[in-house]
Amino acid sequence: MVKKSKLRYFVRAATIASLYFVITFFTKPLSFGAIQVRIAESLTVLPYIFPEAIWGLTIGCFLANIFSPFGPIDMILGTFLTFIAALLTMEIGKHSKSKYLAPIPPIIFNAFGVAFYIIALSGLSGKIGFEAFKYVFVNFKLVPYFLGVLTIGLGEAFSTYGLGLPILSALQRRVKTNEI
Amino acid sequence: MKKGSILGQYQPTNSLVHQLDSRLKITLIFYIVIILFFVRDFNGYLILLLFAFILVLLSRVSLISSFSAFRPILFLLLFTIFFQMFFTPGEVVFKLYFIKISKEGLTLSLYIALRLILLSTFTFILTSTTSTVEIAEGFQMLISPLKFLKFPSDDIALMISISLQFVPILFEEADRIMKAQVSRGAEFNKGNPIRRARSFLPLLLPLLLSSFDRADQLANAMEARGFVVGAKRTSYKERRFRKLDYYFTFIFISVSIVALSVGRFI
Repeated sequence: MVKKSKLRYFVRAATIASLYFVITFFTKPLSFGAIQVRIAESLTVLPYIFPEAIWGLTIGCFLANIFSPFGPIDMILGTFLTFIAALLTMEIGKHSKSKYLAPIPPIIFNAFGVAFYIIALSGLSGKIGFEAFKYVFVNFKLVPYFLGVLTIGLGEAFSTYGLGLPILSALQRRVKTNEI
Repeated sequence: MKKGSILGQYQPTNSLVHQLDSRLKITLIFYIVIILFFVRDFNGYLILLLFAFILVLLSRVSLISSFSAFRPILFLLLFTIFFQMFFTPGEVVFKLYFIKISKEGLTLSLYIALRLILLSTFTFILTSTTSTVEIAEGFQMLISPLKFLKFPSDDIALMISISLQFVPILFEEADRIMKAQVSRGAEFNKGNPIRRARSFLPLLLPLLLSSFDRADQLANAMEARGFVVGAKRTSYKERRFRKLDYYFTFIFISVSIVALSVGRFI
């Protein structure tokens, strides 16, 4: 395979970012239901074979989160979680672990992380600094948290295992034959 | 498919709020969201709510659309209110068999509701008065000082602008592939969640492959024209702060200070 130049790397990352963004909006009216299946999240398996997908997913997630009702919070925290999960997925791929492990980081980080900041932030009261921080932990409600973890995690699992893995297998075949 | 309706809530009315510098708008919205979590008094929230309402009126976007901004958080809103209301211990004001509503629970859930509504309203003001491209550009400029911390902000800025270029192209492509697959009998959004997710494979895989092709073409074209990664770039439009931007900053900060001091000093 020809060694990819830096520019090629960036352009491909940018395409993955816009794919994430476009798919998020394209499937928006289709992905309603008790358990939301975010089709775009199936792309989170990509860093397993393409390291440039880390930047792609991070930027794509950022662009899509501009429209989140949580706006700035999702833009920073949600994007950061995506970045870390993508890094781990890449590591899994690098050490050529089973591809069935690839969707684990995005599922874990999104389920536990996103549910955490949503519940924690909505429970914050008008306290300042350290006191507010302590308050979040003291008054942390476990029941809604785990409900959040469950719904987000399930939706994530459906899209990554249901759709992400078939995509990954299909792409792997083409990578082997140098098609992409 | 109408592109305008999908691409967020941007409504081009060219009002005063629209004309503000996008960097400033992003910073101010971030600032007000942080402030939101430090307001101590109910009246403070009312001040912010009034302020948000005035901003929505000033930006001349449709009022109905600003209410639709709550729709995605409605479930979360009801859910947290429900939990705070019934499971917060304190002075009982309402009792029906085993259901107890405490005074503390009521006030807490009111605060949470107000805060979530304010959060989504301010975000709505940002996204309805600033196009995605402007927001992304604003961010590129905001992160550029991070260069000194070895943060690859130039590279990220490059990737953001390339991906924004790709968005309309890929939208069309996705639409085309979807129609082609539907005409062959593909069904989206049917069956159980796994089935539903899987049904997108005939859309996603061709889309991925064709977009990788496009990426290679673009990279070839850029290389052929002598694009160098990391070279200093100039831009067609230079942005400068205007008087209007300074006025708004002043108003924003004073309102936030008033909202913060209610219940503390006043």
